[in-house]
Amino acid sequence: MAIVLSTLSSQTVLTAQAITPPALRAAFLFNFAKFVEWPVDQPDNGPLYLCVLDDSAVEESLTQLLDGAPISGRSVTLLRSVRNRPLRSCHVLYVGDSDAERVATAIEELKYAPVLTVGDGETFARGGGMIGLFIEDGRMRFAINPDAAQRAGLKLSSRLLNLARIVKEGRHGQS
Amino acid sequence: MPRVRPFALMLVVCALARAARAEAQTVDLRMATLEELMAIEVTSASRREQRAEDVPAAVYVITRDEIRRSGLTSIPELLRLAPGVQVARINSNKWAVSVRGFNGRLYSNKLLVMVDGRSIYNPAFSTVLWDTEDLLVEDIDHIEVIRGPGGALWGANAVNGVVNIITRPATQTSGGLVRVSAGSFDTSSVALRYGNSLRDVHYRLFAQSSTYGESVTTQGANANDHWRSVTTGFRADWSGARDALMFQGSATSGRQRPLWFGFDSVSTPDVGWEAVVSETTATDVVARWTRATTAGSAFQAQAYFDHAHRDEAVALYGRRTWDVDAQYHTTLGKRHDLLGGGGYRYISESMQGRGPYTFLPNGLSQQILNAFAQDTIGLVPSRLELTVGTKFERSTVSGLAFQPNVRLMWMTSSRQRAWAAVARAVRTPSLIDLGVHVEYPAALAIPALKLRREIAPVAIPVFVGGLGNPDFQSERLINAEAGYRLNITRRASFDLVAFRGRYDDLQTFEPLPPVVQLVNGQPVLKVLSQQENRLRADTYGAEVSGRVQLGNRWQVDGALASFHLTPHLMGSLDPSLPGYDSHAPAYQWRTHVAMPLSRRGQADIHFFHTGPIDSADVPVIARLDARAEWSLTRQLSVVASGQNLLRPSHLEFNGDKTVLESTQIPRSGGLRLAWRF
Repeated sequence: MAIVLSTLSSQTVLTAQAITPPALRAAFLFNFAKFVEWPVDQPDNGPLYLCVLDDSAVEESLTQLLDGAPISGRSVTLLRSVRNRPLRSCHVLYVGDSDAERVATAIEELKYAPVLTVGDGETFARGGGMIGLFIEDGRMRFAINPDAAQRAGLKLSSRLLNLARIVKEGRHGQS
Repeated sequence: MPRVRPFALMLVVCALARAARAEAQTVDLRMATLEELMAIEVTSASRREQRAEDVPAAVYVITRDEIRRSGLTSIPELLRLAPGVQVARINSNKWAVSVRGFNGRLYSNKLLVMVDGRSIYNPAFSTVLWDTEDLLVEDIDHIEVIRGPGGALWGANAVNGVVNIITRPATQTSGGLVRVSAGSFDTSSVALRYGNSLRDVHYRLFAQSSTYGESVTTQGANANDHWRSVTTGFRADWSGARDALMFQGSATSGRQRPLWFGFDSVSTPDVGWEAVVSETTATDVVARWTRATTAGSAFQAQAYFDHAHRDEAVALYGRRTWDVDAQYHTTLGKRHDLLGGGGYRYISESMQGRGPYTFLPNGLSQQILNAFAQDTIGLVPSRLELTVGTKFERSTVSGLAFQPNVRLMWMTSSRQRAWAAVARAVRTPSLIDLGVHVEYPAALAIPALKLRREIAPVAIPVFVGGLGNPDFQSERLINAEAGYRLNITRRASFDLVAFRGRYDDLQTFEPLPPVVQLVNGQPVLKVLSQQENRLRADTYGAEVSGRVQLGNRWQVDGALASFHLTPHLMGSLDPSLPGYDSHAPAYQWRTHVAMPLSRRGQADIHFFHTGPIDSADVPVIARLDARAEWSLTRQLSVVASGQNLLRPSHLEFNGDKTVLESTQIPRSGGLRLAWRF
């Protein structure tokens, strides 16, 4: 009886999967990885590392989301405690809505590194990040800064670019 | 609309933390395509959440970035950043903070301040006692400053404005933080914070210890008013499919030398005042439950308890507050956006007078019941919105209060907004208003009595003082205001507000007929005054703020406020009223320039200018602050900052001469090192 009950409740949890904004952000993060080509000098068949800086809700959602499903034949792993690691070990990095200076420092650290940077708001992309998630008219949208991706040697698929709002860095932006 | 900082920040109209939910629970996020993810609706689940620029009120949001760039670390000091807020540091550990005047008398009693939905307005002193409000500045998400009456949503004492301090959810403060600082006035502080998650409960624990130095007396000596404060606390957040829970608590204890007048030194009247040590403690716990019921509807319930204890030269004060409130937000048809709710608060206070002070009653238990409702009606969809609402509040001490408002918002284009509002608000009587009794020898009170020419040197001792009044009534305001906002481009914005207010039944101190009494067999002449409601006042003024962003890292912003008050004596004989300006300057302005220093550094310069306050003998204040920050690594940053750089020291306030000594605030500098791991 106890087994039946716990099975039932876990199914309920699955179908009523919470789609909180952090969960939605995590799902976008996972999806973006499908549309990015990393430079060939990266180990080709090694795991794809996803990282979250300064947002434990997105990190938690990503943990629940990753169930071993591969992306383009590569296994996907959440790299934890990225606060104290070099950010270059990540393939995809979500930068939480932290202090502007801290976000800028992370972007600066990864300026020429092949890491897809995703952050909060269109301002993230304008400030030198690659993809900024934002809510507009009750839906989640994203802005892409193609120059930042190109500088880092990442290829973004046209399908991804077509769905995005394309932005440029501020005139006196990160120089 | 794109999300543009700072004006597009979400404003949580009722000071409750943000929690948004997405509908369409059937989507499996693991399998969803990008197009499917982009179709999921994300709805807001808080009391009512609006972008600051869409609110038909004089709103300013101090963002986290502005807080960091100010170099300021205490809450009252941070309020200097909002337009129209008068922040006057009385001495090292006391502040007078007000909006649109009435910073005078002993306390600023018409500004309501909340921290995460919990009122920190002290009901006995009718003001905020800032010395026990000790938060980690890094934990503050933003501060909403609403000028003008807020009684229709927030209830009594939100007469001239409401300040909502919102802290960050625990999900955004994971990891460790160690911050140490040393300086010449804010002498030293150490802050520790650790955040993590246990399954899907996110939490943080924090502690902070701060010591502050001495100010300078008007004679140029050290004021001996140094103080210290220690605070510890936690916050936990959990969110599920439709529900979110928040639980937080903190405890603060402090030891101040507040420069009360030294009533014990009656025999040596030349001393005038002396430092008497005060000990304070404050604890609170807050729990909140938010549920998104259907698309666009949400229910929220909150409960808090707080306890305060102050052992001071004038009194031994204690308070316990229990508060529960609930609210529901929904839409009706296409045109109505409804918000309603109610609450119950029980406040139990005790006040044991010290020295020349006695309080009768020396304790007060108060129950306050409230209910509010508000409808925002789309007269012309996304063009013209009418908001009508009111709060009914019944207190066992001050009776029934009715605080309605009517607001109109006209969105002339995506870049321009114009709004107008009329509102009523009340300030309810406090324990001190009702029952204070203070008498002291006139020799000590002379600075406060220079207008009382009737007190000539007499042969018998003279005692002066004041009495409360059990029949003291609520002070009332009817205020009309209008505003205009313009977003010139994504990078430049401008905000203008003009207001007019009429205050009735304002507090006055009416002289009683002098009486001769025998005290210990000696005849003593007593010249006392009693609180009454015999002042009416008309006010008007304007507030302007603007911001231009020049590239990503350069910004110039500023604000200007003017205020004018005309007193009308309703048979009052209060000798301080002729020339009364409510201890507010006729104008004040500030400007700020932010600039990059190098790739990893930034610098900020702030200039504050406050006009003279004639009634309090405070001259013009020109204050320059500067700050520079370098990120050495992603983990380590260093900040150098200086305050009041223009002059060795200056006086900011002089309005409470009978009780508290005002001193000069010195030039100061400091260094801060923060390590995040």
